[in-house]
Amino acid sequence: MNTLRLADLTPGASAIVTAISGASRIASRLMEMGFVPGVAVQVLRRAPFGGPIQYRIHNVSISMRIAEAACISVTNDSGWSEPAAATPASELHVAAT
Amino acid sequence: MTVPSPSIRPATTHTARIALIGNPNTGKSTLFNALSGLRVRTGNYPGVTVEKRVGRTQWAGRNIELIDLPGTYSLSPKSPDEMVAVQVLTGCCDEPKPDLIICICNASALDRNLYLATQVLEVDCPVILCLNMWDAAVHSGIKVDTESLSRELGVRVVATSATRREGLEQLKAAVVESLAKAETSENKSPQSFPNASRILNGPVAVEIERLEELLSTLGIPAAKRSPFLVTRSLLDPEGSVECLLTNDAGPQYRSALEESRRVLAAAGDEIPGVEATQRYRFIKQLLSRVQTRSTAPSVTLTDRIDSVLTHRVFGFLICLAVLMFVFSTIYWFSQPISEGVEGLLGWASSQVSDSMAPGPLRSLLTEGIVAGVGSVIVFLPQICLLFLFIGLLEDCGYMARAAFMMDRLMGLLGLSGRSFLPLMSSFACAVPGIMATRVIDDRRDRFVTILIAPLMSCSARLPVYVLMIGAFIPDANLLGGLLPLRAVVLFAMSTLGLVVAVPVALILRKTLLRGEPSPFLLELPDYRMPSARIVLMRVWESGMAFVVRAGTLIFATSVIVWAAGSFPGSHVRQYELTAKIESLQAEDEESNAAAIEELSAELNLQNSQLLQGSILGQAGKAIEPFVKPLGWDWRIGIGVIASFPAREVVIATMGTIYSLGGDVDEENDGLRDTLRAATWPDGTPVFSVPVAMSIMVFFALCAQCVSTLMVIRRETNSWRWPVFSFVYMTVLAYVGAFLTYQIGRMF
Repeated sequence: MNTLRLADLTPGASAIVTAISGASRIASRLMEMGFVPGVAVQVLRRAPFGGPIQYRIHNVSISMRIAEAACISVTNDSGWSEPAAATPASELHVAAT
Repeated sequence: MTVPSPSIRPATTHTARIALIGNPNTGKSTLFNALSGLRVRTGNYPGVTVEKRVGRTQWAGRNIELIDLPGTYSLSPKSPDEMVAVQVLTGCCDEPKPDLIICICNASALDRNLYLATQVLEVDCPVILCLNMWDAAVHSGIKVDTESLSRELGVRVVATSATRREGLEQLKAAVVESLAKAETSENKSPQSFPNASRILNGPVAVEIERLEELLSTLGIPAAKRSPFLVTRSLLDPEGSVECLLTNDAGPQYRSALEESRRVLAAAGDEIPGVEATQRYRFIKQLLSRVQTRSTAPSVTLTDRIDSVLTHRVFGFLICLAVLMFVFSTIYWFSQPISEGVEGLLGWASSQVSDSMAPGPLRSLLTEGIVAGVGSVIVFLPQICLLFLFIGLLEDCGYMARAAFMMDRLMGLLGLSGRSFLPLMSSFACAVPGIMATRVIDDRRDRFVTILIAPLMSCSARLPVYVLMIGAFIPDANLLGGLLPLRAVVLFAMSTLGLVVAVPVALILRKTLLRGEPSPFLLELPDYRMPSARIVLMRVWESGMAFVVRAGTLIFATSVIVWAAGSFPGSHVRQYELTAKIESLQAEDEESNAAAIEELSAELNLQNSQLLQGSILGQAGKAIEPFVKPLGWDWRIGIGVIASFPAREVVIATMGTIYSLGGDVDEENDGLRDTLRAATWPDGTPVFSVPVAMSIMVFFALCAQCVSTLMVIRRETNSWRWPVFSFVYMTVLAYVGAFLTYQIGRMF
């Protein structure tokens, strides 16, 4: 498995978060914002002059600087399967409104 | 106030306290305003600069107090905002804990929003889950089965669209019903999240249980060792809850916590990762049962707008254009409005003059009170305009984009993109600019921005530059006639503050406000139509906050400076002359013109002598040895001291000292000529190009603006920072003026 950092990806790419590293303040903030192992992230675009990068995660758009994005290890979209607790699609409960 | 026992309080007199909590960008403020109407009080939480908003209303005959907590992503406190949220929810903030919590989620982004919700559900207090922005979720094809969600979580779930005012009645009904249920319930802790154990499981749950047992054997009362408090004390090392519990339970609990954290680390469930991992796993499973998306996420409207507005080239240019538009509108529009305000005040003071004979009371009213009121409300148009723009930009979602686009640029100052708009607004006026720093979430960034904002060249400095340049800078051209020298000097003066601000910001960042830069994690919310109600509420609140909190101090200072400029001294002759002139004017102004002119000249001389003899004048003379190295005489010294309430006052003061009457302005030829003719006792002229430059440099860098200092006091909630601003800027101004004069003299 290739260990990429989120900061290495170019706009348009998608990846799955594998691990968070870095200072505990930053790491825990990133995790609270939803960057936990197993979650899909998409790179949207970069700000000018090497500024922050815009990502999509959990259907929300979040931007961060390269320093923060370097704390997030990712793996390419392929070959990933849901954690053990995943619910099969057949159990999907359709809302009865 | 003590916590009333739920069983004995009568429903009619008791005010139910309801806390609103939610992630940023969930429409929480819109909902708060829609629920509380106009009766909103704003203030600060004690000791911190977190804004407290409380609204009072009545639902079904019940008194309701709504507390709008700051937007937060988690109850694990990392910022003062989150600290306040936890303290209010747990009741460790000198106030009883709320009777009910409304947890607001963005219905389109439950994956992320439920993280905070699962933490809030563990608080020992009834919770109502509010899925806001429901209309947008439905529109994008997201369906949530609220009944199943309610059953799974064991709380009431209400769907609302606050901007359309939909679902509000249901939410109110749910609140009233829950309150009634909590009151009649025999159970003292009416409802806690029944399924909490399902979220945090494995070794974490075991450790939490162990710690709870320890606290109970240590004799800690049940209310102080609720599962929520124990969980937070374990999961937030050095957090406020850990402090609270270790204070109560002693060192034994501290070592137990450390032991638990070691156990968890050994089991591979390190803090803080374990909490996020387990909660997000729970949410994922939960949503797979209660939420469906009709279509695969396609390109949304927000994506399409963003592809232009956050484009690396066009987006940046658009951003600059938008921010320049805001700045220039404030700069140009506030001018006529401020002039209108001044006209109004002139009218008010002439009304007073017409109805009263000259005397100390009239002088107090016209020169002290009306001028004091004027110095407060003259800022209102600019504050209202700026907050109108900020409200629009924030509410439509663009503000976060501007911060995103400008972050790198502001990084040169050690600040984040959020500081751009406040600093740019300060070029019009530092007062609204400093108030606008509320958009900066990081405390240190915000304080650095507040401290350098007054260095930006505001419009009040312009009159000083215009006067000095017009009187003393030769009307020459540089570069073979291409560049007018006067324009070059004006430009240099206007940018001097900005240039000086760069090292000041970097030094502050490394000394007084040092610390690792906070992580820049900025959510870019979906674009939406701004709501007029929300924007106008914001304008109203900031205007009121300025008038009430800063305005009173500004007013008081103006009156004190008026008194210092009037006393001691006998004003009898001054009043006599004024009365004579007024009666001659009333009689027939034209035929008495010669007499009026003669009397006016004497009056101006009187005014000048009275000012020189006053406390202010004596202070100006006393500081002459200090200002002499800057090339100034005592008259300039008086002007500088008198301009403490506002820089532009220096011109009127100089007019008075030079016996021209107080109503001269920067374009006045008489004042220019008098300044040119002013001499030292030995006959050498006071003013020269280096002196004029030194005065301009001083005014470019000094903090001669009481309004700015009072707004700093209000925004930082302490006297320490306005005093620091005044001292550092005055030192900078003095050194700058000294160098300018001494170097300029050599040529």
